[in-house]
Amino acid sequence: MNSQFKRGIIELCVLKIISEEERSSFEVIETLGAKIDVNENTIYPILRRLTKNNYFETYSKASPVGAPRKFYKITDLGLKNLKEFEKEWKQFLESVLSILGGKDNVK
Amino acid sequence: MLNEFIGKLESLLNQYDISEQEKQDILDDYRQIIDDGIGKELSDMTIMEMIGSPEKIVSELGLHQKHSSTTKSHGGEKLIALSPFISLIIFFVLGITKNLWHPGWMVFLLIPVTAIIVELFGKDNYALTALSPFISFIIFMLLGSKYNLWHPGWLIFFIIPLLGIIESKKEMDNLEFVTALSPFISLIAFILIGYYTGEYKYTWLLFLLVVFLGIFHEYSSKSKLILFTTLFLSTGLYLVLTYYYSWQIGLLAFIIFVVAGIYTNTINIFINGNLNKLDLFIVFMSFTSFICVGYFLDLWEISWLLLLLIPITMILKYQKAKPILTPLSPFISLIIFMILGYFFDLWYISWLAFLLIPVTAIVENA
Repeated sequence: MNSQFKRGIIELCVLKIISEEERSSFEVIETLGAKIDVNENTIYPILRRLTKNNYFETYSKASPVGAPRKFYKITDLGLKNLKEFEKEWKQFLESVLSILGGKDNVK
Repeated sequence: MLNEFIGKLESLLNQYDISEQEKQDILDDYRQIIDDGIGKELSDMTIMEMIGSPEKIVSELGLHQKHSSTTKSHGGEKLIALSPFISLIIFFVLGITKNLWHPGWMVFLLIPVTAIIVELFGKDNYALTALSPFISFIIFMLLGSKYNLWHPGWLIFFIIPLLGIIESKKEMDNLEFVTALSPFISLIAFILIGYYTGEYKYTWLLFLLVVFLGIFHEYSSKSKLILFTTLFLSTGLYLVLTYYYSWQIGLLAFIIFVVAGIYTNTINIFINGNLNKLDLFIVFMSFTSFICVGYFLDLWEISWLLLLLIPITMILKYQKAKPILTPLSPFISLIIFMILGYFFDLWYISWLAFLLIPVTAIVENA
């Protein structure tokens, strides 16, 4: 799969995962890596870029062991973009499926 | 191992144009990811696989490499502007009065040399590297015209990358520095020893220095041990097989090392997209023709050029947009250089083929 295309999908997944629950970098990498065959080294840079774009905000939470942990939380802007991405992605998938001959044709 | 990762990441980040705060932020994030992994009782290896290599992380972060801004002095600007005219005058004076058209034409080197000296000297960047093409060219011409040492005199051009590495030393640790130098040192030693002794089947083992140093960069101690053991084993077996049979059979000994490399995930094949039948055919044909030409025509010194067909065809096939010629130019230059030098003994002139690389880059990207 084209790496740029894949990166776009990962962005969407990262947004979705954090919208469901505030998570640390490790948790995002762990969750995504368990479900998608993805180059893990792309996840943190994506997290960082989305944070720079104000899609996430970060905060520190005390940890029972070691230093405080940094967590990511989705912002209103992030949520708005997530909805747009989801809509675009669903439309795209429907178009692809219609070309391929329906959902049953996709394994 | 994980400390090495952070150290390596930090040293790479230092080469990029980011603030100290941003750099520390990235490093802290990775420290936290590593701590979380350790907290989950994951092995170092698993954590490393999760976070990836520092090189890839840095490339994914989309940072811009540092570049130093240089400001020219007013006098310097004048000197640069005048240098073509000064060179032209000197060239004609030498030619008309002393009939020194050759090597008088070399005064035109004053033009770029003046610019480099004015722009770079006294500043914290790569003045010597920038001057090295001219220094090496002059030495090459002297060695060639005075002692007819065009070959292996062309090796002097390796001072260009070598000086580049030496001037970049502050951005590397000692191991990285030695590793970066090793391919050039091995190649120079290989060609010089091969040239003067005619012995190649053992001399090429010098290239294993690069592999040997490369293994030190491996994070996992287990992988290190496996790779060192199999490297020594393969080398020993190669020596025995070469001594008793032939070096071609001896080469088979390195299958052990390659298998170990694949097992430890040190040898990776990155493919952008999927290899189709045509790609596999090209790879197969290149290897087959390399072995056939080498074995039947005894042209091992040159037959490896056939392997360059693989990257060339892959670039042609997968590089959809411009620049296409720029990535091809190093391969084409190398082929022209080797063919002219090897078949026509034109080593003294064939190096000019390498000028294709910057020229193509300028034409295609300007």
